[in-house]
Amino acid sequence: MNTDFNAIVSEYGPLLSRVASSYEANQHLQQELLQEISLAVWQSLKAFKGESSLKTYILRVAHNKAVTHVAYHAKQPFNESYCEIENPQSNNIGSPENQLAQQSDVAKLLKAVRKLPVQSRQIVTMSMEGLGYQDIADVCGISSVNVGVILNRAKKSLMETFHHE
Amino acid sequence: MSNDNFDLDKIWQQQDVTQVDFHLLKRQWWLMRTKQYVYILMDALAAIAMPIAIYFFPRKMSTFETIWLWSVFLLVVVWFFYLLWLRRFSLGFKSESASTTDFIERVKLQYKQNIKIAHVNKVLCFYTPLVFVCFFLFAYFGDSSNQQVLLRKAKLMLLFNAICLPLIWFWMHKREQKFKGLLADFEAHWDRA
Repeated sequence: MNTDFNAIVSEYGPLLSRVASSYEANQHLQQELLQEISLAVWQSLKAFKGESSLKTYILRVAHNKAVTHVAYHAKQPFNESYCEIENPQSNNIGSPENQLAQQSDVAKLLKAVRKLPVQSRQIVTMSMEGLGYQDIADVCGISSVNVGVILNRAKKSLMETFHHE
Repeated sequence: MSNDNFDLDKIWQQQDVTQVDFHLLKRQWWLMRTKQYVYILMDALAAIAMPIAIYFFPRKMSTFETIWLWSVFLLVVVWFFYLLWLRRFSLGFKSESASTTDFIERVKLQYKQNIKIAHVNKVLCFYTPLVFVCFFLFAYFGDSSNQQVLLRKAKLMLLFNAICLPLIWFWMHKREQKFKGLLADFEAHWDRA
């Protein structure tokens, strides 16, 4: 494992974890998916030619890996007893009341995101990671106009679900 | 960007994150690479087994035996490269950095190719004994000098086929069914999406 990859995981690890959480609600499967995504990123780094930003490239690999993982695990029985995971790294700051409110908002948003169709989910999460329309269009293989339409619909749907929960 | 959207982005970034397990990652990497190389090695060994056997156990062969063996060897080599081509995506030539639309098509293609590999191997399980039977029949009625030795070898070879080939057929059948299931699930998942 080279130091470049360690540095990349240190920088983009949280982003990869958020990709995993948008596809898997179960914590154990999230950890498993995160490992699969990291492995795929490691494997794909040698093919990175700088045609897009590294962040866009990593997100493309991550979403593709998630696509196969989710389809594969959709019908697999899950056994909770076989793995242990470390506690997630908390991003909560402030008073306990604020932390609780923040956790509740995050849980609501994640629940709403996971209800979206896969393509909308992919587009909206990349947008929330700061990617522009053209980058998202490159990742998904659709036009940037389409990205705009899907993103607006998805965000509207998210806001509605978020405020109704 | 509206305030609502800004809030969503902010909330999204506030979620707790899980750490990558580097130790597990190294082990998974090693296992994955080893598995891929073992598959290639098995295919390559099947292709070069015949010349190796001839090299280590040299004996005088009739013209018919020589032509037959080298013909089979040629077919096996072609088969090896065909398998390599079918496995090209799972051997790392698959670009996970393709766009998602392309990637989904490639995953479907890989499942279809895995089904094809398993199916062709099943078919080969039926043709392999036939190849041996033909070989022994031609040798028996052709230019074989020692028919008793040939009969003994034919019995041993057919016994070997009778034991091994049903097992291989069953293994390939299970793989074929597995990949058909995975393909159906994958297609259903993406049709829904």
